[in-house]
Formats: sequence, structure tokens, C-alpha cells
Amino acid sequence: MSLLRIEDVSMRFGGLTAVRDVSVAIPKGGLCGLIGPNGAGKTTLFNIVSGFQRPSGGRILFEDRDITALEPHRRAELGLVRTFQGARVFPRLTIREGLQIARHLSDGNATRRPVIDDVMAEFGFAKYADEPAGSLPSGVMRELGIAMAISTGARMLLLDEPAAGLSAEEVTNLQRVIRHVHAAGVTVWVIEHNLNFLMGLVERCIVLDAGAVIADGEPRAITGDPRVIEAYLGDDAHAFG
Amino acid sequence: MSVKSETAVMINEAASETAPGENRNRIVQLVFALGWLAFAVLLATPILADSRYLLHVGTMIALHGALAVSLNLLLGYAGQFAISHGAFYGLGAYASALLVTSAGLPFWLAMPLAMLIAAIVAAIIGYPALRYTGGVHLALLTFAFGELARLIAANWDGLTGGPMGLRVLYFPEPVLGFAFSKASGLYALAAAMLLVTMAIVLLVKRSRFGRGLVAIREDEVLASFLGINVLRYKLAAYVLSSAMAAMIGTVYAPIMTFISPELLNVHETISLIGVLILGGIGTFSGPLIGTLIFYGLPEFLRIASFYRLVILGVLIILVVLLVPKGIAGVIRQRLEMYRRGYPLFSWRKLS
Repeated sequence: MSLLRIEDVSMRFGGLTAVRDVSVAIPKGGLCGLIGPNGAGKTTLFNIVSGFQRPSGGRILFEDRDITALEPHRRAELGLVRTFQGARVFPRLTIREGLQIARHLSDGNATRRPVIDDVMAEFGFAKYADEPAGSLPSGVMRELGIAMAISTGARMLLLDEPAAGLSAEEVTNLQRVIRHVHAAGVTVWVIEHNLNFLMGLVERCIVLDAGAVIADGEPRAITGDPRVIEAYLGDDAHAFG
Repeated sequence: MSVKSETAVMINEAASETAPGENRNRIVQLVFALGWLAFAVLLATPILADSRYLLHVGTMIALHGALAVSLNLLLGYAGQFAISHGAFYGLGAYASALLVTSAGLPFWLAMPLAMLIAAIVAAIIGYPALRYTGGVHLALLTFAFGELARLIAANWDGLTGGPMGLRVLYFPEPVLGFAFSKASGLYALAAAMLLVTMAIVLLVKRSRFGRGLVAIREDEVLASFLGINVLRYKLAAYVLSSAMAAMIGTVYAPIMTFISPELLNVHETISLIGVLILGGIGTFSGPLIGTLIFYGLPEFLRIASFYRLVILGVLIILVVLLVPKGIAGVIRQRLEMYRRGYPLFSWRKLS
């Protein structure tokens, strides 16, 4: 059964079509990637799914319920939570305070118990607990973003370029955190510009180019797909050109 | 050095670190306890001293303290910049005075009714104004509402007495044999307002609602993506804060025995914002410290009220430049640093 279904979603900004008739289904318990060159429409698609933007056409279903017109906080209530590019945390609040706020939805609500109850311990935040989140190393900040999303009692996470700008060691830690969260029962869909980050992580990859899905399958198969190579090489050629 | 002895050294270090740490914790707790003790003593002084002058000054400080505390909920915790607090204070005073004198209602019924009216008006203004992030809409709309309310009070002669104001010739009915017709009774009433607003803000601060407000203050977008209904929370904070202002206004009327449209002047709100900045916006004790300095200090230094605004202006500029977190903010930060093992006083740059 698919947890999230995107049906014929389009997004036009004036004359520009950022997302074109995209249909994707993410199964419950999946760990999927969303890749594509710059400007392919990845973040726009995530914005539509998370409620940041209303699509020009098509609809979004979460657990077979039409959520196209729901506001972001209602989607979070249903268990669909996103993180932002870079790391969006409450920089002036401590980790403890941020996580306490994130438990807003799940506290005292048995049906929304977070899959990881003690994120402070399991994510190894204890030693930073009373530091302002803005002073954390960027790798820890990204992990905090994920931990906060989990604490709301999320059933599905949309991660927007979680690894961008991290060191190799931080990337490894982050992959471990994502795997951990997935193993605990959360469906994960990750946007990533960098193919290598996804290769060892996801079981399935959706490739977006110029607003349309051009490939969808196992990571290994994707890298050999001529249309994907074309999209990435075309992008690179342009960058060099 | 063997592994075993290394571990022993580490354990020893850890032990010697915890001992002073616990001491420091206790000292910090003691400082807080002393602060609240001083507050209790100050609160009791006008009654114990039984001086008409102290009772009068104490009443005014308690009322302004209550206003500052209730405004801090909206400005300090929710981070919403509304400038209609004085208008709701005046609204509460006028609404209750009219309900008592014209409609003949008992004061204790007029008070909740005036709060209800204020809450409804706040919801009507707040809904369109709070839909936007950034606060310009809220500041402008609430300012416009305040001016509108003042003009209505000044010009609707038949209802409000116009610019001449309204004489208030009633006192709240006695409660459980405790009368409010003498200066000490009215002071007790004002002090009760202060304690009630403090209790409400403390409850909110410790609740899920309060944590949601802080999240909205820090980042509205992130708050909404964590499942917080931002508009509803902001609206609730605005309505609650405005209803508290109206409640304080209802006791102002019999205390002053006279209300005029000047009560709704925007200066009142601006002064309160100054008080919050001075004391420490978004801290629990900040509004109290700010009120004490702004309304208390000039009184005891016998400085004419004309100079009060000048002194406040200078103080606020100094505070903004040197200690942007306000007095309570600095004290809290210093104590927190001390608790973690830094010296209590040093010339290291703050913030």
C-alpha cells in the first residue's frame, strides 16, 4: 500500500512550468530518493507535498486521504513532516527546548508516539542538550532537524538535501541516522543533488529533470539509464560551457 | 600510566567538578529565592506601612506591573508586536464603568463581561492582522484600532462623557467580607490583579501552548511545519493578553474614580513596551523589574513626571546599546554562566 501518492501534479509560475504532470507513489516503509540536476523541480515538488505551495493542478494523497488543500500544520498532524535545505532549527533555543517544542503534537497522545521516544539519547545529543542550537556543528544541526521531525510523531519524513555541505564523516553519521529512523518504522523520502550520497542509502530512486519524472527504479539501474546520464551530463556540459 | 589509574584520575576530576557545580547551583537558586522574597516584601510594604502615599504609589505600580506582565505574554513570548494594549486597558475601564453605572450590573459581573467584550474585539482585529508573518500589519492595524477607540471615547459624548471623561462613583462589592472601598482595599485589588496576571503567564509559559508561542516567535515557518497552528496560537495569545488588559482596566476605574479618553492614548502602550525592553522582554521577572524602575524609581527620587519620559528614553537607549536582553535577561545569563563555572562578574563583553 502506498503511503503517499502524487497524482498528475503540476506547478506553473507564470510561463514557467516547474513541475509537469508528476505522478509518484511512495510505499509505506519505503526509503526512497529524489534526484535531479539543479532546477529540476525537486524542492518545488517537496514544497507542494509538504503544503508550502499549492499545486496548479493534480492532487496529493496521504494514507488515501486528499491533502492537496491542507495547511502544513495539518499535514504534520497527519504524520507528514519535512525538513529544510541547510538546517532549519530554532537557533536561539537549546536542543532540549527545541525537542520539547517538537513534541507538541505527540505529547500525551498515545496514537502519535514518536518511533524513537528518547531522541536525546539515541541521537547522542545529551552532551549538547543545553547549548543553543545555532552554535552546533552543521552535521549535528541536520541531525537535530531530523530528530525534531521524528519527535512530532511523524510517520513520513521528507528530507530536503540533508547532506549538502557536510564533511565526509558527517555524511556517514547522517546516513546512519537516516537508516536508524527508517529501521524504526518511518517512511523516508530524501532529495539529494549528490548521487553518491543516495547510492548506498536508498532502495529506490526517482529522477526528475525539467519538472518531469524521467526515471524511477533501483539506484544501480538509474545510474546506467541513458536519460539520467544525459540529464546530468547536459547539466555539467552547460556548467562548463 | 596504566589504564586503571587513568580512569581513576578521570573519576577524581569528574568528582571535583561536580562538587563546586552543585554549590553554584544552590547559590543560583538562592539568588532567585532572594529575588522573589524581595518581591513579596515590596508587595506587602504598602499594607504593613499603612501610609496613604505608599498605598497610592503601590497601587499604580501594581496596575502597571500587571499591564506589563500581560503585554509580555504577547510581545515577549509570542513575539507579536501589537500596540493596542492601552486601548484594551481603556476599553475594560469604560465598558465596566458603563455596565455598572448605566446598566446597574454588579462590578464582579461587569468585569468578566468587559473581558469578554475585549476578547471579541481582539479576535475581530487579530484575525485579519495576524494572518501575515512579519508583524507590520499587526502593528498598523492595532495602532489604528487604538486611535479609533480613543476617538470614539472622546467624541461619543452621550455614552462616554466625551473628552471630559467619566466620573466613577462605585467600588467593587465586598468579597467574603473583604471591602474594597478604602485605599488599602484598592491596593489589595491592584496587587491581586498583578498576581493573577503573573499566575496566568506562568501557567501559559509552562504549557504546550506557551512552548508553541515561543516556537512561533523564533520561526513561524518551522513552527507550522512541526504541526503548530500558527494563526490560532497567535490569535489566542492576542485575545488572552487583551482580555487581561481589560481586566486590569476594570479595576483602574474605581481606583482612580475618573476615566478619560487619555487612558487609551498610544503613549500608554509605548511606555509599557519601554518597560519590557528595560526589564527584559520575554523573561518572567523582566516586566516587574522594568515597572519598578520606570514607575517606582522616579516616584521615590521625587522627580517630576515630566522628566520621567526623558529618563526612560535615556535608560532604554543605554539598555538597547549595552544590554539588549534587558536587566532580567542579563541577570539570567550571568547566573547561567556562573552555574556553568564562569566567574559571576567579569568585564567580558555581554551577549
